[in-house]
Amino acid sequence: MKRLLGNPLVGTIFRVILAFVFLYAGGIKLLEDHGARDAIMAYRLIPPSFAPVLGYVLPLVEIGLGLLLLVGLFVKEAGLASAIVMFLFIIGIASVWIRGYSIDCGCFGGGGDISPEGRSTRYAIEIVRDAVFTLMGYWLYRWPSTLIALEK
Amino acid sequence: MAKETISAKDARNAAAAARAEAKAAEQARERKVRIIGGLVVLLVMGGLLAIPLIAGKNKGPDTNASAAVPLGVTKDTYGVKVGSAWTAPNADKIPLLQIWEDFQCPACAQLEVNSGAAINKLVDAGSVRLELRPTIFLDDKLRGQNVTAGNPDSSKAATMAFGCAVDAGKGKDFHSGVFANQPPTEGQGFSTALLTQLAQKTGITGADLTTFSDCLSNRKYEGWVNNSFDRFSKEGVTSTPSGILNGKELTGEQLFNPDELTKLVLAAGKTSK
Repeated sequence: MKRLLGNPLVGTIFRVILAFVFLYAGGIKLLEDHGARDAIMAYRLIPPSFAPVLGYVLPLVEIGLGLLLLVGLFVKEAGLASAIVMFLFIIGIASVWIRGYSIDCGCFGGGGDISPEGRSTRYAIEIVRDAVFTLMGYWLYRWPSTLIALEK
Repeated sequence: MAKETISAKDARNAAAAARAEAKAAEQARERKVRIIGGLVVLLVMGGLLAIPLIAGKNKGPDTNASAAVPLGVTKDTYGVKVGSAWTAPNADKIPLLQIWEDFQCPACAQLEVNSGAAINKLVDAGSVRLELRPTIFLDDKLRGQNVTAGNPDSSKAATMAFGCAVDAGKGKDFHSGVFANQPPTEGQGFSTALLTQLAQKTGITGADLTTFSDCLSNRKYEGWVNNSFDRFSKEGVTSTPSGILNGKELTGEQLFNPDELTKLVLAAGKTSK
């Protein structure tokens, strides 16, 4: 049994998990009206005029990363990009939490303002979840060699 | 002997060369896989982008030719016709003034301040066929602020309420009331409570007020609003307020100067007679 850290089997599992998370999250956003535009606007982080474009760019980036991870191409780069994207999501959620807004994170479609009930628990769970995904992305950046991949 | 030594060395060299070659081949293969794979992923992303673009183009505002229209509104323009000139025997000879407005547009409120009285005078004298043509393009632009203020899609809400007020025979008054009560900050929008209050101010009370409230909360005229908004885009109007006199677009100076506007309308009346 090889040591755990950097184990290609663990990396492969992380790769597949991240791939499906991205493909699902990106796909569902892409199929919504205006993509993720309204969800992005609810964060009140970027000028509203950029939201329509980012509303489609974000799901496409997610799907692109998902595809690369699924087939195992550019794993190192895709892992790093995944970690960065997930980290940005954490910053986004933390910022709405701190500023006192109550929004649906729109992580898997939906989005917008919602009832503040259970706000803190919701944000905390989302941040922990995205932190786990960030670590998976970093793992793949650090140890990109995985099984059943198109690249060695 | 010496020959053999050389050949052993050769064999080692050959093996090393073969290994290097295999490695190079492997690297070349991997490079090829990466390039092709990367291109395929980019192509898939580009292809996926077409889905919302096509869907979005086909959708636009959800137009629906069978949607209900407020009293007196016809489906050729979806505009609200104001004044007795519309029913005059020589109506087609009376100049037609169409004004495109968005209830959230501050310049439209300013137009009401500048030229409202002059326009009313022309309407009351039967000298102009006034058609108010609503658009809601600011809902998109002010979405963030509208949502923050708790009044999403305020232009649509105000326009739906306008349609309900038209049914009650108070369209023009309600229209003026909304502009007079625009929020001090653009984007704050209109709450249902404010719109109902404004309807009351125009004299819609009792059973009429119940009808108004039902009409608004049931979004009776949402289809009409979308249809009118669709015309706004299709007729190539790019900003509000836009005034069109007998098919000719007026300049801002003409529209916002009451004397100039009156003169133009009266002159248009003379030439068409």
